[in-house]
Amino acid sequence: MRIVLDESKCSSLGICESVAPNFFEIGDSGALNLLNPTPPEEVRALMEEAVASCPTLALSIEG
Amino acid sequence: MTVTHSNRATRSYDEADLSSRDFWLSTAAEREKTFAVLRAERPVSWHRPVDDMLIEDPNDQGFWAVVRHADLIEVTKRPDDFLSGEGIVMESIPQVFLDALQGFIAMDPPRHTKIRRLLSSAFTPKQMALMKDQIQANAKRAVDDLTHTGEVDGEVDFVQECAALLPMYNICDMLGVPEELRRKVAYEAQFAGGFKDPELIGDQEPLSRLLEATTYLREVATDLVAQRRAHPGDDLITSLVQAEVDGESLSDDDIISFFGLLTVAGNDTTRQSTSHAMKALTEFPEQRAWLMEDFEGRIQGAVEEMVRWATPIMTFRRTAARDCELNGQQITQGDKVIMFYASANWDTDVFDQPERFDLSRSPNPHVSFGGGGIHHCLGNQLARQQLAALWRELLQRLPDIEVSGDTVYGYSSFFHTINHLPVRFTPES
Repeated sequence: MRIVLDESKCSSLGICESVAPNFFEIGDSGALNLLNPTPPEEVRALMEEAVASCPTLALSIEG
Repeated sequence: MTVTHSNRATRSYDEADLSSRDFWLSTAAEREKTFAVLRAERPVSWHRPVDDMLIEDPNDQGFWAVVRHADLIEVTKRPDDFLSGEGIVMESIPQVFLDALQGFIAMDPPRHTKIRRLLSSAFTPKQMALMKDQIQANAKRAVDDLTHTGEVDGEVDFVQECAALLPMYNICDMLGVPEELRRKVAYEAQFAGGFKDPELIGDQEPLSRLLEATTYLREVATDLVAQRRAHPGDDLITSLVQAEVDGESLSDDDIISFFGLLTVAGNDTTRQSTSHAMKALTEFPEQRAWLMEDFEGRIQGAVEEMVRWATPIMTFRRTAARDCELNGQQITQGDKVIMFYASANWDTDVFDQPERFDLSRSPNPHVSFGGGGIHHCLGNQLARQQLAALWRELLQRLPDIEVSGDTVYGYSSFFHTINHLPVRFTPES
């Protein structure tokens, strides 16, 4: 499983971070950092929730 | 837009009234009757311009009303079709106010994207967690203010003595506004959404009063920016004057305009949510009892329902960038498109028994912070934390606080304003 970020869509709201703070973090510059772009299968449900929470549809899951 | 499209001028108006002063002076429950008909029968409908405009706009022939939850979300997620840069409220507003007061909320990409990212870093979950203790301390202070006033005469105006104070403390802390300017800043900020309200405006001319308010907020912001350039502090203005993305920094005008947006959006929203929630907690005592059975376990979901119930911002406007379609209606370039958030939050396709204030409602996909998309409320985490902090403080310290008189609503087609809400409570011993 791979988390894909479309930087042109992300507006750094941090809602993904509030859902899964160990995987997403808005850095000091305001850009979203993926802390682990290839998370383990056991957190798929959490990743799906984080991806679905994005209001700007900037996140997606591959694989 | 300067082009007048003939089909806009000749299009016939829907028979439902969303434009009159009477409509906006009535209650949310009254307005819902009209919304319910439109949602069921004519989800995208054309209406005459709203009453009590700020300026005469010969190109303003009316607006499209978007009332369904799904359609509102679609408009929000099509920022290429539906622009914010020509204004975000129903009324036509001179460009000078858009620039001065509305910051990046009234901008479109690519400029919006760049500025929003710079500002986002101050509102992330991590930043909000750092502010948690401060927000709780400010909630304590707001309740202290309320109880001290209550000692004098027993009945207190909840809006003025509590609901208005909490967001003012938090926003001013974030921005670094000195204590002695805070009440005036919060007061002047009200004119942005309250320029129609007779109680606020009195016999003044709305446009010139709005200009006065704008000028004041810009002066405060200009001074703050200059001070923080010379003497950096640990507040948001300091971060903004120092912020750089790809070698570009924000201009003073960008920061000053953002200051205007934050004082308006930050004060008048949480104030309304808190006041409406106070009223609802009185009217639905069983909901309050349910919350108090497990406050820490239930407050997070309860806040979502409070924000749905209040719908502190009732409308946002977009302007069609080009001819396009929306749920079967042909929209013409330059048309105003108004999203009605209270209607979407009462949409029975999404919410079971929306007329019930149900703190256990789950899921609760309300649109009070927006329908998603690039303008989604920047302060949503701040608002949620403030509401939780205030009810934690208020309901535990003043367990019998309740509304004790008539609610006085304001007049606005933008903010769902409560001007006065008398409450009574047994003072702390």
